[in-house]
Amino acid sequence: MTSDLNYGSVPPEWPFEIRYGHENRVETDVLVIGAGVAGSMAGLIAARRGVRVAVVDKAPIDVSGSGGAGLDHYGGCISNPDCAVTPEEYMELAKNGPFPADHRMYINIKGAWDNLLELERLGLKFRDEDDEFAGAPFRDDKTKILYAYDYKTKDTIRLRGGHHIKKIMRQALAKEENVTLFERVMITRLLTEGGRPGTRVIGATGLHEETGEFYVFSAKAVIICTAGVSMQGTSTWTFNSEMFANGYRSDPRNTGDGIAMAWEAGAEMNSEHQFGQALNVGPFGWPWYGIGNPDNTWHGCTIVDNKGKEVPWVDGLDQPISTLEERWLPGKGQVYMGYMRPIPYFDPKLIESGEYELPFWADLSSLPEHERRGIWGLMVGNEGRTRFAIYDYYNKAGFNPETDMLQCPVMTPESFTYRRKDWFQGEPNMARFWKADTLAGMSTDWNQMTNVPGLFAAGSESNQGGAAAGSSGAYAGNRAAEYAMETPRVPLDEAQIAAEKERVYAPVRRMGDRDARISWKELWMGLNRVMQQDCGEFRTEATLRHGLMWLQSIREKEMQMTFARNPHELARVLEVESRYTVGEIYLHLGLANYEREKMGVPEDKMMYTKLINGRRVLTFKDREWWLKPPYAPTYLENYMKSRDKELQGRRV
Amino acid sequence: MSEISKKAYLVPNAVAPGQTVTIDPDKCIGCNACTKKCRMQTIMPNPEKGKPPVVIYPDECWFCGLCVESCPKGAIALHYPINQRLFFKRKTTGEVFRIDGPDAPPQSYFEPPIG
Repeated sequence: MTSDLNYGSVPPEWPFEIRYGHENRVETDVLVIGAGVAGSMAGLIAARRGVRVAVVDKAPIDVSGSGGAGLDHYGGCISNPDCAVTPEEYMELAKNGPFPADHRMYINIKGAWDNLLELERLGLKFRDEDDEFAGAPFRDDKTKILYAYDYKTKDTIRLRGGHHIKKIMRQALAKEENVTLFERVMITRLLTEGGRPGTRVIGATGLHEETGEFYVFSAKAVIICTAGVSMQGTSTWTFNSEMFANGYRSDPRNTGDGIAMAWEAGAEMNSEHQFGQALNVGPFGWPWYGIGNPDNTWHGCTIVDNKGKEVPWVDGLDQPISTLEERWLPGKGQVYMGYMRPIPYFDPKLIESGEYELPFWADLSSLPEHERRGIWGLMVGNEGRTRFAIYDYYNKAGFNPETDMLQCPVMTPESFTYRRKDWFQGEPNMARFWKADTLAGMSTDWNQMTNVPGLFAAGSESNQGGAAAGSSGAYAGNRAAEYAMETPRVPLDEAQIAAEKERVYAPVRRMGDRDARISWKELWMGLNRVMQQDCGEFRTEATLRHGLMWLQSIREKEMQMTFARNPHELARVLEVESRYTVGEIYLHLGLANYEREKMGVPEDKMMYTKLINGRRVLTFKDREWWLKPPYAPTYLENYMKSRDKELQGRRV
Repeated sequence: MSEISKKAYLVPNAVAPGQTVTIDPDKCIGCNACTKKCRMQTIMPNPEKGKPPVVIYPDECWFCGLCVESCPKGAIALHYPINQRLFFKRKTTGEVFRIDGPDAPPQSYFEPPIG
């Protein structure tokens, strides 16, 4: 550090020309907010329908989003021709799974194979063309496709070269003449008809995070692809002002902006499926996939205790298995593996008694070459954020998967027995109050449109994450393009733009004000405290109300004292302001549950919550409303009906 | 060790980790390719043209490593914070090493990632 530029010298000047307040007006048909895997595909497909598309991302698009640092497998690729279950069968099986089995899931899995073929056309060479895995049990020798996890069902495809997925998508977008790219531009607010919430969404405002310039977009349709907060849920409760990013699985720029702006525009949130616990322990975990997790990326890896005693395996139904091959097959009586994968069985009693000596070690070296390379070279080599941070880093640090075992973190004994939870990155062996709820995100219909006209959503924003995000992106891109073709442009509300411009630049305008002493980090910590206290493991209706009052109090005082010394800090302040809105959404959804109870709404109703002019509005729909009138009774009929215009190849 | 400087400055506390990314000034050609791949703005261009970029927000680094990938000169290295460096054990000898520890063995596995 002593060699740093700033040691005993003046700070370096901001390397870009500052143009705070300078306004750029952009007119487009479809506006895509967030160009990760979902948004990039949405933009590309919408443009191919002949409409003008603006694709906006607050980071450079070839690296942005959670897939920007790679993707190692395509989960839920049910529509691939070799998958043993059909999308219809999968919808039935998924009812017991961790994700909502609804029309959005169907849209995703039904379009999955087409989406993967599209990615292949764009340049993703996901097949084993070099025959590196010839003869491996997870390889189809005819198609050269490499499967993962469940070698019998073949529902998940390993993405050889998945590390490059975003570069490929960026190149494709740049070639599309109807597409204009806006990078390092952070969307701050949705613009609505008349500037009111609940009316049609007709544009958005944005901030350039290098120059500080202001953007105003006018659009006929808007697609939000900003990944919601489901992957980053814990950051609403906890934040370590330093060292906060390496423990995160998803993009740290995933700050809930999209959810927040949609909520403010009157979009309904679905509080039906709060998974209860995030898979994400935020700033306290180990690097993702760098701890030999045998239940996911390191699936199938032999685990031994500190004295070399091997841990026995059980299948997805917890029945003992004895052969290596069974680790990649459904258990006896199990139709397909899904997320109930075989795992090593760590009897907590044996850990407590010391019969297993801690720590455990993940032994890649004992696996056959194809499985070892499958995990270390293919999965870790392409998985999100691991090609350099794990594969390259550990190799350079002397780790050799052929001779070495990797240490597994010490966790509480029962944590070793969970599937797809603490194993992901090693539960820190201490109190766990940061294990927070996750939001299911905004609600969308068969057109992937929210209740707000003109506002669409795709990707993990609507529970359609991973490589599969592209499938929902393509679908939403088509629907948004069709909407834009049929809908007239509405003039923007200048008062709404002026008010937003005032809010956006307030933190830089405060520079020099002696009361402006709150940094974006302190503002974030304030939110965390409110959520820990009032929306923690124990909460009541009164604490949730107290939480809303507390956040409002901070909004009026400390948020008005928050400073930004350059466009970087300004973007961070605005992100934290989004986080505050996300915190409020959690509190409102919690309160909506109490209201529902008092109203005596039957359990078979699904609840959707929105905020209109500061008032919570609850909407109740029948369970599986997406298969009830006005919709058709089957998934396939609705899917085909929604794609009707697209399949006719109608153009403007 | 060089002579202790008699100069000291009033500077803010250093953040931790302080060196998530380092740029070797002898290898860097100041092309700023890495700054164009950093979603966090952890690495920013040096206001002085041709000079190595400035690692200004290491506390926000996600360790995506795309700066390492982008560097045409191999001048960039990642550094885990201390609290994320765990151990590995050599089966043949029973030796235990820590990632980036004092006794770390030389690289012995050179297979490139697949694809």
